[in-house]
Amino acid sequence: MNDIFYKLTVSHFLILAAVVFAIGTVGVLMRRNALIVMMSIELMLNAANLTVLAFARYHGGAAGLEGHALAFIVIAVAAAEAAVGLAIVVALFRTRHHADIDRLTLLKH
Amino acid sequence: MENSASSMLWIIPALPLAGAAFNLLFGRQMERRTVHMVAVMSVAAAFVYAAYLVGGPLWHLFQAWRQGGQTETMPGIGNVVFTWIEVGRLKIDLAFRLDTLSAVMVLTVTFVGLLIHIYSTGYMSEEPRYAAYFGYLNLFTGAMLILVLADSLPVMFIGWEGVGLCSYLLIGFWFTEDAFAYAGRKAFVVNRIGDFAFLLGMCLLFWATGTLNFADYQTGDAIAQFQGAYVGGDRLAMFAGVLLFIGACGKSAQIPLYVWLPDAMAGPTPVSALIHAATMVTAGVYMVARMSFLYAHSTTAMAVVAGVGALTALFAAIMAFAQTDLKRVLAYSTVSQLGFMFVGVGVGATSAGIFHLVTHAFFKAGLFLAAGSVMHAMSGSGDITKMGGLSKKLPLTHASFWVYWVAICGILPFSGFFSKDEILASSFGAGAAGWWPLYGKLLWAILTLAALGTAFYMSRLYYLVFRGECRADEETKAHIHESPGAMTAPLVILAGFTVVLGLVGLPHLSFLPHGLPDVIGQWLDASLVDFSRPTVEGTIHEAHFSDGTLLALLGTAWGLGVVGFATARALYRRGPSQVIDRFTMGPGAELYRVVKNKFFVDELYDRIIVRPFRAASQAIFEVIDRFLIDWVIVEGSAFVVDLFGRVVRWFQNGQVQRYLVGLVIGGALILFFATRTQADFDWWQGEPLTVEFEADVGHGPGSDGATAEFDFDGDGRADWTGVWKRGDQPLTTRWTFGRAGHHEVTMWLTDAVFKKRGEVKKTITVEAQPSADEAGAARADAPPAHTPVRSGGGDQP
Repeated sequence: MNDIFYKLTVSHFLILAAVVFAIGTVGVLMRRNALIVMMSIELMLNAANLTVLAFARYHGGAAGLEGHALAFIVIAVAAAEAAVGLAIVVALFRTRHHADIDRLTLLKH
Repeated sequence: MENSASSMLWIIPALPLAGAAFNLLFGRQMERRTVHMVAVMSVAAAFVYAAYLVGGPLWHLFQAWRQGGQTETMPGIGNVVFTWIEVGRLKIDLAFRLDTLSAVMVLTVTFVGLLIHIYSTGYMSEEPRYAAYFGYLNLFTGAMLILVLADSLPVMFIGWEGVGLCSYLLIGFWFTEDAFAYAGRKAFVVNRIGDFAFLLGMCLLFWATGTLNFADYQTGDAIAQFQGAYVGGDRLAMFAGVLLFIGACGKSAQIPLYVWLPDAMAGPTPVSALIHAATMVTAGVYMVARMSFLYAHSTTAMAVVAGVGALTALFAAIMAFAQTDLKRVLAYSTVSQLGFMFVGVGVGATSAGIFHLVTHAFFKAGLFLAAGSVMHAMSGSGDITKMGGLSKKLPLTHASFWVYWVAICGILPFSGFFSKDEILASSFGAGAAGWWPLYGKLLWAILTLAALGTAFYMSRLYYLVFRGECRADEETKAHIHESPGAMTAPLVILAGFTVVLGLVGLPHLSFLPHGLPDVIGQWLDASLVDFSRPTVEGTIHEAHFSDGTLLALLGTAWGLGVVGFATARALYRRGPSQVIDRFTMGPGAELYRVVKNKFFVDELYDRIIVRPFRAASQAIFEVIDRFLIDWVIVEGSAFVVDLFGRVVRWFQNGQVQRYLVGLVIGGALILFFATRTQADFDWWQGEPLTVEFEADVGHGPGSDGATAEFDFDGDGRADWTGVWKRGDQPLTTRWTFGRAGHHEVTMWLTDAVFKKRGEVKKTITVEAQPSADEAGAARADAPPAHTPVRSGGGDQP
């Protein structure tokens, strides 16, 4: 059992990714500030990237390249998402003078 | 049927119906003159056309029939308009027939109807709903003509229901008064009860004979059915006859369904005259006469008809004693007279019953119209205790009332004497197989009492209204005036007919040269069953009286009228009688109260029918409506929806984070179930005692490298172990059991990712020698692949 402390395996990366993903999920679900929620989403995306890269490395070969490519696509999409999301938050702040998503319940109607 | 003819009979009912359509659709925009001209003319035209048909073609047929053998009835004039319903063996034509019986009815209905239409133009001149009134009146006339001209029971039923509808509409004509609307509804509901029995009788007849045409009921086939045993040894004719008679009881206000007629006086007085005295209420009598071919085959049914009629005649007469409303006295009188008619048709003296129907139509319509004229003069009040001394102020009304009064009392030589006497004499001589001995005499005795009562209450009415001092208050007195010509002219015409009409039905006295002609009897016999015919089994035998007996009976009838009249004169000549008052205040108070309240029959019905019905309705309302529908179904479903709404609303609050909670939980659940490893295996037996097993390792990521272990002998230890890798054939193995029978096989599956070990136990049945069929059947749900047996762990290929 000591191996877990001395030998770096794919499991370590997966556990780390799971923890980061969990932190991100909780952040998305619990935080009120839209900006923090967006930051949490970034955490989740990065956790997903981490697993993709860990498995790519584990399998190696052609499968590994596919994994790296997927990670880059995710980063690109995350950047786009951040740009749009931030724009929305700024627009929201201008009209409402706050970014408290608890008070944004227009979906109800 | 050489003496049959056809003609456009449908025109007769169509004329008043067209008038009704005109007045009901356009009457409101028309002037009053146009309205009543259309109404009166349509009935007049119907009368003229009917009179032409009766006097011309039908008369010739009748003469030809008399010259012929007279063995069959005379079919008369027929008219098939179109085939109305044709389903299977049921074929109903909209067909009319004018024979001697319907001819009498058509002429009576159109002629009396015409006079009452004319009278109404005066009586209803102040009415705002003038067109509606005449529309209903025309509609009634049309329906009544359909009823009497019908050639089959269903067509008669159209008219039957049509007149019922018009009766309802006209009783409740002044429906803003609650009591009037209630009276209309009561008439309708009570009639409905009778109509239901009528329908049942109709269905029974169709079931038995396969036909509903009146003419077919005279044929041998139908007669065989009528005489056939039905229930408990009684003939079918008895059941059909009694059911139809219950229908007649409703329409013609006989015990026990008479209660609606006195209340029906809520309608305008001409309506009471036309519908509730002269025509509609006689429909039951007409129907029984029309169905005489059926009644002839059941003396029991005839005994019922005659018995009910006699009792009604007596009790209605007694109830009339204590009434103080002019129209109500006349209403009970009508009920009583209808009882007379039913006795007539019930003892086989059908033509006597119809004869009384006709004379009654004239003098009772006249009485009602005269009553209307009196009430017109008395500012609408009908309380006879407030009248008196009107003979001088209303000379024409008084004179005609006098004629009707003498006629209904049965005084020679007015029409009522002849028709009533014929019924009395017929019942005196009636007797039949199966009847109680002296049943005919009993009927005669009851009717005699009823006739005495009739003379008494009618004389009471006459003296209270027209003689003595006027008891009205000063204001009413000042307004007393004779009615306009439109009202008095019909009164005079009806009175004229009341005087002479008796001459068409004279009693048979042989000492006179040629006897006296009973014109209407001979005329009607052409259409009615001949009770002396040998084919008619167990019929009423009408005694032919000697002249002495007949004269004695005539004398009795006349004497009764005189006695009743004289008693009433002595008591009421000077207004309400003190003798009677002393009696009703003193020893007779209880009796008076019972009679005054119509023997509490309304209250009785209220207790035993209306209230239980209402209570049951209330209970059903509470249980079914309130509890089951309102509470369980409506509020219950709303509650369930509301409950789900509350749960879902917690999510659907517009906050993105709440939605995401659902997303995360849902995703987690999907992942959990998709990746769960569940142990399972299939098995099938191909050889004796040897069974093949295939492990199901699932499809999730854990299946790659999963380990399956089997324990075949039930010792808890694995007997075979296999590992499956992606791309392998399914894991299979085989095991030979030591004996046939049930064995418990356990399999454990350890998935490759979480190393979780699942367990499954199955009891399998092993056979020593599986048949090919069973092997095939057992294999049907197994995978088709038969792979080599593996033993030990598998490697990657």
